[in-house]
Amino acid sequence: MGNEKIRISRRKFLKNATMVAGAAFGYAWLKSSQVLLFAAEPKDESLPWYGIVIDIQKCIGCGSCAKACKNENDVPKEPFFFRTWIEQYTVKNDGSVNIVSPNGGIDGFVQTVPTEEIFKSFFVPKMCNHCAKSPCIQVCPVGATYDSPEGVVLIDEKYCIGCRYCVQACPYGCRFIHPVKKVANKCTLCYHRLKKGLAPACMEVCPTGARMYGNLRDKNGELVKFLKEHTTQVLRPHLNTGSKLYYNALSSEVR
Amino acid sequence: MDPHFQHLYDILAHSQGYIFPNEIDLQWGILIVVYPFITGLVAGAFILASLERVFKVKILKPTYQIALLTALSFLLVATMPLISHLSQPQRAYEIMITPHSSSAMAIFGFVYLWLYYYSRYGSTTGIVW
Repeated sequence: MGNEKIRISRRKFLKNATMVAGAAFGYAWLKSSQVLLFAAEPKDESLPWYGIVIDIQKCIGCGSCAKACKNENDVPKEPFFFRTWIEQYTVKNDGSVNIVSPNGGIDGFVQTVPTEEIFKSFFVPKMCNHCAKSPCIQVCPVGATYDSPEGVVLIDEKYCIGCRYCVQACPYGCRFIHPVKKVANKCTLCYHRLKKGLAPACMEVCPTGARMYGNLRDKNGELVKFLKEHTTQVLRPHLNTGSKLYYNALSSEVR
Repeated sequence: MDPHFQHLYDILAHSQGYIFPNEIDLQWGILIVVYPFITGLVAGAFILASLERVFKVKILKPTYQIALLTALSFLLVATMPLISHLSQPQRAYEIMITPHSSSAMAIFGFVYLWLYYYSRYGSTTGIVW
């Protein structure tokens, strides 16, 4: 009889304990899964919420931005590691598209398609889109990559385990594994410079002002003014990444 | 040219069309393929053993012991390709102690924990999760 009582209460206790633990676990799971459902929202209203604009019509393909980025951020010089790079798109008369990015465009471009075959040609600088619903943040198994309060996607290099899941997840190909540090690496929007009130290195050196950054919350700011006056588009909008990198005059050939 | 990156230069020279420069380096390579291969061996050997014991296929009796031992020995090394694929394997435990619950990779560890718990206690307490 006494044994029976203890057995039942133990079963009840286990059941209740498991239900409480399950509820807590479920809540934690839902809470952190909200990155899938809602855009990351800045908590501190006093901080800026950064967005980027790249004006394709202004880009001349000089490669200064990619070079400056590599120098500023100690990115290996091999052509397999880029925080930003430039692609040359050439649409031919027959409709086919030729895309090249020799050494990320750092050494400049040479048009290899004969002039009479070219329908149009343009340069597309690429960099991290600093998505508000980043696939890379979603998949990191330890949470080493995160949104800064300013909406900049950053990596904790002391925490990253180097599983490369985020490199696979980024639809824009903006991440790589740093061959010396052996952790994931990506554009930080030159966070160390932003914090001192300086422009990111790539935007500092751009000779035509094709790259801009600014506070999306400042409705009278330059960036919002540009977005108001131009028809801009983000890359791969169907992936719902909440990209904050807006391209002006983006052609549909760009992927 | 750094010889360490020679294989990447080779890939770059032979690649057709355009891929993003950061994606020339294939991140999930042979080790990621070896892992499901080993778990497949474990599952296959275990099923072979269960055929004899659970489903009473008497003709498989001579294979029972070696099948279970095969499953056990491959199970012990199943995670080795994954751990050695990490470039910071000394931090691998972070997946278990500080998991990021929107990540499929982190949750997969909890699937294992649930399976372990269920196989150990599930049948006696009637608790499913």
